[in-house]
Amino acid sequence: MKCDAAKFAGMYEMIYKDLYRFALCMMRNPQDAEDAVSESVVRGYEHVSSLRSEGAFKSWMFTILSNVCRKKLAVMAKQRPVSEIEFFEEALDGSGEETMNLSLDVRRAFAVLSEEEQMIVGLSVFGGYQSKEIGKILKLKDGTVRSKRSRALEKMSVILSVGTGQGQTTYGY
Amino acid sequence: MNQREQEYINKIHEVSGDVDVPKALEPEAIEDMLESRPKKSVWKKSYTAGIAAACCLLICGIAYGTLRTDKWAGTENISAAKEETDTKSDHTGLQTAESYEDIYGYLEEYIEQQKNYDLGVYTTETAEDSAWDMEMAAGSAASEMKTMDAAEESGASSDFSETNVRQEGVDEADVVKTDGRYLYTLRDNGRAVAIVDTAGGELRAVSEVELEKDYTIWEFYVNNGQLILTGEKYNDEIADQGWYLNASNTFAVTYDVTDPAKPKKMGEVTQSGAYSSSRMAGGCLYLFSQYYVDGANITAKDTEYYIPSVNGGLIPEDHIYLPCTKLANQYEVICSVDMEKPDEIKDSKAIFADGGELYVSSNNIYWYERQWSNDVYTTIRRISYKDGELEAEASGTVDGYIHDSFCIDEYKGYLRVITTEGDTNSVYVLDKKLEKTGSITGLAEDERVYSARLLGDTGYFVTYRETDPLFSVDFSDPKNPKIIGELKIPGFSEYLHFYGEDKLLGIGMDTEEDGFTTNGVKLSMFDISDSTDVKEVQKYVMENVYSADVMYDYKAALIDVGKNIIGFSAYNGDGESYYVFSYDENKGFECLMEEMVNGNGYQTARGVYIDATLYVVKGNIIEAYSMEDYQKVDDIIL
Repeated sequence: MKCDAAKFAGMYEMIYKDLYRFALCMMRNPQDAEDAVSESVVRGYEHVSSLRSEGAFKSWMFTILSNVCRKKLAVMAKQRPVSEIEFFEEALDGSGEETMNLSLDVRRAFAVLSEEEQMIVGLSVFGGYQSKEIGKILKLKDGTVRSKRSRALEKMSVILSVGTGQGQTTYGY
Repeated sequence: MNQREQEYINKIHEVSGDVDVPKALEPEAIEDMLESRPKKSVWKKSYTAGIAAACCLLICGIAYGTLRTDKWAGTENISAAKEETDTKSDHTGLQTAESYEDIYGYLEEYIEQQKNYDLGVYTTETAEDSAWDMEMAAGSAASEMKTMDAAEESGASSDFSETNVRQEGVDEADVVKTDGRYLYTLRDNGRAVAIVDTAGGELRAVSEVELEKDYTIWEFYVNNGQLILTGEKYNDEIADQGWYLNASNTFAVTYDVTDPAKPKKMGEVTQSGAYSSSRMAGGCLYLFSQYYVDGANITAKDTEYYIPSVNGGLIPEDHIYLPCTKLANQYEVICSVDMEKPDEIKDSKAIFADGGELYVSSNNIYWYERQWSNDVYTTIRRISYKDGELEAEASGTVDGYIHDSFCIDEYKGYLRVITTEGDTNSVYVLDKKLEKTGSITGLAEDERVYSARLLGDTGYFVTYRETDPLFSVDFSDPKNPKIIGELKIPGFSEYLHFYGEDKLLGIGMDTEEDGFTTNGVKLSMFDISDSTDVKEVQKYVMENVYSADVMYDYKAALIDVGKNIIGFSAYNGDGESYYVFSYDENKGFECLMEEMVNGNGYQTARGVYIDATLYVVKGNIIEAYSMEDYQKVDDIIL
């Protein structure tokens, strides 16, 4: 697909908040999230000619972004294994709200998930992906994505729901 | 994904709130940043081809790019893009290509259409997106469960369990296997299979087969002294360059494990594309992969960039079936391997089409693809596979889409299909030529098929919206299938399994009438002795248990009627536990075991038994339980 900076920015404008939200949920701090998004933008722009259609832009950018996030997380895990819980601590004690500005509830809910579950839910929520596409990105089987997502959503529902009844799990909101 | 999950996902998005995106990421700042960057536009694909080919491509690529740029300047194609193209071609899906140029024609159509979309359609409603939406609306739950016909018998004769498969006599790969003495488990890293000896009641790791780092093992077989690993080789370097579509190749690597302490590599085969599935029947392995063509910047000469290859050689044109549509950009690649020669491809075929799913009966591969046009319909192809020889025999269509492989079933030469179309559901019977002999349409308005199971002349399927009607279908007259029973109960079954002579086991969720509140995973036993009057005779709700893999993946079930055990892992507030139930007509379901599954690795948990010991395996951890009292007797961390 042919695309100049202005057109790219135009397509980007439609999705950048979701890209950033996704990166925030994955990277756990605003600076790393910003780096991940801007690195993805550069990669995406360099390879925009391989994009088949404008309609595929969003899913394509999410594919790139999730790969960038995974790579960054792997590097971070080696370099500073301890600090990766900061985001969750902030989420749980409510600090850092001014800088994060992502709904505290959502961060709390993400905090109970494993990295892989965060990726799956993040791609579903912010990327609008179906299980098959998520499977392709994360190299998981379709059924595995579905069962992990179902489990992750149930876990999150405990945090996000209001008035959960005894002995029941409610998709309440 | 079911409706509740979809709504929940929407809700999370809604409550995630406004974010303060850093200034540097605002669209204006991004545009400035991109403008100041030199843009790389070199076609870089020398990773598969030789240098000469790469040079040629570079030139072709630039020439093509220029040509396209000229076309982009105009807007005369907009109308063409917007009108709903009639995408049906004259082909029935059985015709093979005469030349690679033939195939390129379809690809060119595809590129042309995409280009038109690039040009004209600026809303998000491209074909791709609407297809996506439709899938979200209707099809996502599709494939969430499946059945099998066999497995229960397998355990009864020999005293160890086998993978729960869709079709008796057609083996499927899995992440845990046993040969009756050794346990084989896919390790958490996805690159190795560990072999553990169970002799003498003690678990002892004896060896491990590990592949190189660009290999990801998805699942494997243990068969006739061979360990056959199937999965995907992923080239990170290529992916990093943005060519995600070309980074994957499917492999089958075979080891001789007649001495499990010393596995010896016997051979390897590869084929283009991402691993989609595999089967083992009659001593042959059948490997399925999906290969996408990265349409940009290629010409008819660049065959290696748009024709799939097997073991390094291109699939011949007369082995490639042309699509039923006028355009296409992906293949289902099917290879057979005689396991006596695990280095060689015996036969290979490619279906050039837009993507589908498969069901493998005892004699045929049925490859079915949902067509995306104004009407939802499904094209089904029948490919016979005797002794590794693959031959396309027939092709046909039915209205609607097929939920999963349990909704399509061959019996006595007829194919029975249950579909969902729009707001209703249908049942079709097709003959060997895949021509309709009978049908029932307009079933269960406003509901969708959740699960199905067919055996002999009778079939059962569950649709769901708020309650769970279980339909019984009489297929004895292929010209006149009949609905003979309908049972309504709250909740739904996502997985159905015949349990002995006149019983049908359902595993699903118990729900309140509102359809949103779930009370937990539910086991139901249906009495099907009179298929016109099916009754739910026993029911067990696992309170606080909110999900179980078996509802999405039939291989997660350990069900053995002879031993009277129903085993699977499920999720409760504390994490994952393995459950074993027995069934008694009078006492109903009895929970024999509920034990935490240890380890939180990526692999899904499986239960297998050898003699009177149950092994709960999750990636690197194996725990052994006596099946007399279900007390833990041993464990091992690999």
